[in-house]
Amino acid sequence: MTTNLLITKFYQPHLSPKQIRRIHLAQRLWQGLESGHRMTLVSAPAGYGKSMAVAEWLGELSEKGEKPWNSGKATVSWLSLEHSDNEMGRFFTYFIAALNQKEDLFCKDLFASLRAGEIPGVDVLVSDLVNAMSAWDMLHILVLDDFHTIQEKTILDALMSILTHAPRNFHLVLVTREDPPMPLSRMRSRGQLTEIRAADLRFSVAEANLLFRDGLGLEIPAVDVTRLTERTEGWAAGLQLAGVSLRGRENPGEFVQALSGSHRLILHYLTEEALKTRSPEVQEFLLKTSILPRLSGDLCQAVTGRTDSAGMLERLLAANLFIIPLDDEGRWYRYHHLFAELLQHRLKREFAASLSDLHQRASRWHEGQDMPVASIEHALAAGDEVRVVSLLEKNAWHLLTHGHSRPLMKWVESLPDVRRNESPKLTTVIVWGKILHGEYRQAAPYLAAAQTALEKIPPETTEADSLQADILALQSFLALAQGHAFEALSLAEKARMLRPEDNTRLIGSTALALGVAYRVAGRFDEAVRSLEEALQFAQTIDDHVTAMVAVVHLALIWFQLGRLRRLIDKAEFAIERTEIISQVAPVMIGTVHAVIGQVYYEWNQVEKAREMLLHGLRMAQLSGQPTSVIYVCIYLARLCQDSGDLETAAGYLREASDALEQGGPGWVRLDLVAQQVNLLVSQGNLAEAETRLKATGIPAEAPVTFRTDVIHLAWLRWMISCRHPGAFALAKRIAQSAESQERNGTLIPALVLGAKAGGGAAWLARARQLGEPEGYQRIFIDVTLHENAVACPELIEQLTLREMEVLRLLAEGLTYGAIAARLVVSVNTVRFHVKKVYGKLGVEKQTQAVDRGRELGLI
Amino acid sequence: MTTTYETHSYTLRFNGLSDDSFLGDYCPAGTTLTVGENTFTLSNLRADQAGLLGVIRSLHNLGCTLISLSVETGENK
Repeated sequence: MTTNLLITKFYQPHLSPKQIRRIHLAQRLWQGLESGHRMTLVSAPAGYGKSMAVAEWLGELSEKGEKPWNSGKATVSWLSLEHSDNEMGRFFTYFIAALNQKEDLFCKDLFASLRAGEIPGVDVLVSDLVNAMSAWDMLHILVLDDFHTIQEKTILDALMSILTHAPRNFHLVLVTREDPPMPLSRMRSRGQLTEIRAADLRFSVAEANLLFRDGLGLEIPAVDVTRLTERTEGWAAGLQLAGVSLRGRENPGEFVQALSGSHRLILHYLTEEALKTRSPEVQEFLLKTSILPRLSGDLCQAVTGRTDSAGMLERLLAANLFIIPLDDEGRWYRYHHLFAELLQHRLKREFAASLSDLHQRASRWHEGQDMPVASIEHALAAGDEVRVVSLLEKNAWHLLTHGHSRPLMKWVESLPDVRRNESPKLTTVIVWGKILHGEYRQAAPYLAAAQTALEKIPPETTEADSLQADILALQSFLALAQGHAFEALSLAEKARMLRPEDNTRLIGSTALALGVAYRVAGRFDEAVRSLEEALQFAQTIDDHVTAMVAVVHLALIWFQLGRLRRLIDKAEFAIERTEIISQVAPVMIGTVHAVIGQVYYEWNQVEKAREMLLHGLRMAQLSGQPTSVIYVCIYLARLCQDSGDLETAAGYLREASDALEQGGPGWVRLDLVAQQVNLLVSQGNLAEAETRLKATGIPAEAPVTFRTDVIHLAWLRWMISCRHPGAFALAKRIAQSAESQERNGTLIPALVLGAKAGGGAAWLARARQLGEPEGYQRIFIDVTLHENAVACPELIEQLTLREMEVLRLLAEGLTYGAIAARLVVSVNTVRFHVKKVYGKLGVEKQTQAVDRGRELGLI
Repeated sequence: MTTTYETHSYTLRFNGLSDDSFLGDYCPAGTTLTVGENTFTLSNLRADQAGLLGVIRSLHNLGCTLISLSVETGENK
C-alpha cells in the first residue's frame, strides 16, 4: 500500500514548441528577481495563462543570455496546489517535499514529523524552515501554483513569517486567481514584491495573431483577429477556445461577429463551440474524465470503459485541447483547471445520473492501485457513504500510522453521525489517533460512541470480541492518562483476554496497552514481556507508531532497572529501522532520543548526550506530543543543572510544566517535580524545595515504592543539603526498596547519596560494583569532586562541584573559552563560577585563586 | 462596463473594525479609511478584480462583513 506524496504535483507545466513566447513578461519577472524582491505575485482570474507565463519565465534566457540556474546559481521547485492542501500539515508537507525535489534532506526532521501527522507550533515550523534555508548556497525559487486554494489563516501567517525572516536566497512565486489575504501593500511599499496582473497577461493583437498562426495553424484575417482580441479582451482561454472553434470554418468573420457578452458567457459559448468540433465520443470522453485531477490512459479506461484512452489523450494534446502533460513519459496529464471546471459543469447538466458511477469507477481503480487516499476522495465525491466507510475501515490503521492521521480524522468526522456511529471500527481509530497525539480529553466522546455501537453487535462473536478488546485497550490508556494505574491494568488485562489471536494489529495494540499498564504498576518483568510482544507484532505490519511507543516504554523500564546497555541496543536499533523504512517520524520518537541521551550522560559522554537530547527536543517539539516534550525537558534540565547552567535548566523545566498543563499524562508529574526540587536544592532554595516536596503528598517517611522513589530521592538530596539527621535512614529505605525489585536506576544514586549521608566508602563501593558493568561514570565523577569539596573546613562556604572543576581547569591554565568548551557551558556561565570561586576563596585574581586552592589542598 | 483586468476605484463599506495598520498593509496606496460606529469605509480603493477579491477576503478573515460596494469606472491601469 502506498500513501506516498503525489509526485505529479511537483511537475512544472510543459511548454509546447508551439507555445507563444511572451518575452516582455519574462523580462519583468526577471527584473523583479534581480532587484531582490522577496516574492512574485501572478494574480489574475482563470484562463489568463498565468502558469504558462511563469513556466516560460523559468525556462527563458535572462537578458544576458545565461540561464543562471544552469550554472548552479539558482534552482526552481514547483508545487501545484488544490483545495485539499488547505490544511496546515498537508500544505507544509508538500511545501517541504517540493523543495526536497532539489535539495535533498531539506528539513528532514520537520518533514518526517509532518508526515506523521504531528504539527508543531507555527513558530517552531517557521524557525526550522528559515534555519534550513539559511544553509543554502544558491537561490531557490519556489512556485506555488493555484495558490487561491489556500485560505487557511495559519498557513498564510506562517508563509508571511517565512518571507519576513527567510534569507535572500529564497524567492516565492504565487500563482493565483485572486490576491491572497496577505499584507501585499506592505510588501509593495518596501519594494519586496513583483506583480503580474490580468492587464499584463492580456494578449495583444499581435500575440493573438501569433497564437492563431503558429500555435493553432490558423490563417485568420487581421480584422477578425483584432475583433476577437477585443471581444475576448485579450483573455488567453477565450482566444484559445475561439481558435479551436474556428478550425475548419470557411467564414470566420461570421463566427467572430456572433461573439458578444461577458467572459462567462463567452466562455460557455466558446466551450460549446470547441466541443462541437469534436466527435460525440470525444466529447463524452472529455466530460467523463473531467472528474479526474490527473489522467492516465489506464485510469481513463477504467472510468470511461474505452480501451483507446491512452491514444485519446495523445490526440487531445495534439489538438491543443487544454490538456497539459505532467511528466516526460507521456503517462500523466491534467486538464487546464478552467476547462475542467466547465466540463464538470456540463457533465453535471448532461450526465448527472452517471456522476456517482464515474467517481466510483475512479475510486475502484485507485483502490486497485493501492492508492487509498485518492480512492477515498472519489468515494466521497460519489456520495457513496457505504463505500467510504468500507475503505476507511480497511485502510484506517495504515493511514493513521503512516502520516495521514489528520486527513483520516477529517474524513471520518465528515461522515454523518449516524453513518460514523454504525462503524465502531472508525470511532476506535479516531480514539487511537487522539491518544497518539496526546489529545486525551477529546477522545472520550468517541469512545462512548464506540461503546454504544458495540451494544448493537451480537455478543460473543469474533467481531464483538475484537471491538471490545480495542475499546478496553483504549480505556486503559485513558485511565493511565488520568492517573488511575490499577484501573488501567484491569482494563488492559481484560483486553488481552478478549483479543482474537489472528488479528495482528489488535495483538500489538492490546499488548502495548498491557505493557504500559504493567510498567506504571511496577510489574516490570511482565511489562517487558508485553511490550516486546507489542514491538514484535507491530514490526510485522510495519506499524512504526506502535513499535516506537513500545520502545519508549521499554527504554523507561530499562533505565529504571539500570540496564543501560540493553536500552541502548534496543532503542538505537528501533530508530535506525524506522529511519530506513519510513519517512514518517513516529510519535514519541523524541522521548526515545531523550532516554538514549540520558544513557550517554550516565556514561559521561556529555557531548553526545547533549546532541541526542537536543535532537530529541526538536522531534518532541515538532510532534507537539506533550509527553515527549516533558521527558526531554526534564533530562535537559538535569544536564544543564549539573553543568552549572541553572538558568537554562529552569527554562527547560518551565517548558515541561507548560506541556504538562496542556494535557500531558499524569504519570510524568512526579518526575517533573523531582527535577524541579533538585534544581531548587542546587540554588540553595531549600524552603521552596521542601514546600514542593510536601505538595506531592508523598512525605519522606512514606513507604518507598517504584512509583515514589523519584520523590524519595529528591527528599534525600534535600535532607543532605540541609544536614537533616534522617538522611541516612531514608537512604537505607530507598536502597532496600530498590534492591527488592532490582531497580538499579534508583539503587545506584541511593547508594551514592547514602555514602554522603553516612554510609561512607562501603556504600560507594557497592554503587560502583553495580554501576560500572553498565557503564555508569557520571554519577561517580560528581562524587569524586564532592569528596574533595567537603574536605575543606577552612572555608566558611564550600565550593560546589562545578566550582571545584572550574578551579582545577584554571590551575591547568585553560582560558575561559576553553573551560566553557570542556564543560559544555557558555563563557558567561564560566565567568559566573569564577566570580563565586574568588568570593569563597577570598581572592581577586586567578593566580591568587590557584595558589589558595593549592594551599587548601583543593587542587 | 468593468472588466476583470482593468483597475477601477471602489468604495467598500464594512461592519466591523479596522485601523490604519490594515490600510497600510493590505490596501493599495491612495485608499482612504473612514471609521464610523462599528462600521468603516474604504474609499478610492484602486484595484483590478483579483486585487479587490483579495482585500475583501482579508477583511472577511478578520471578521468584517461587507455591506456595500460601489465602483467608479475610470481610467485603465
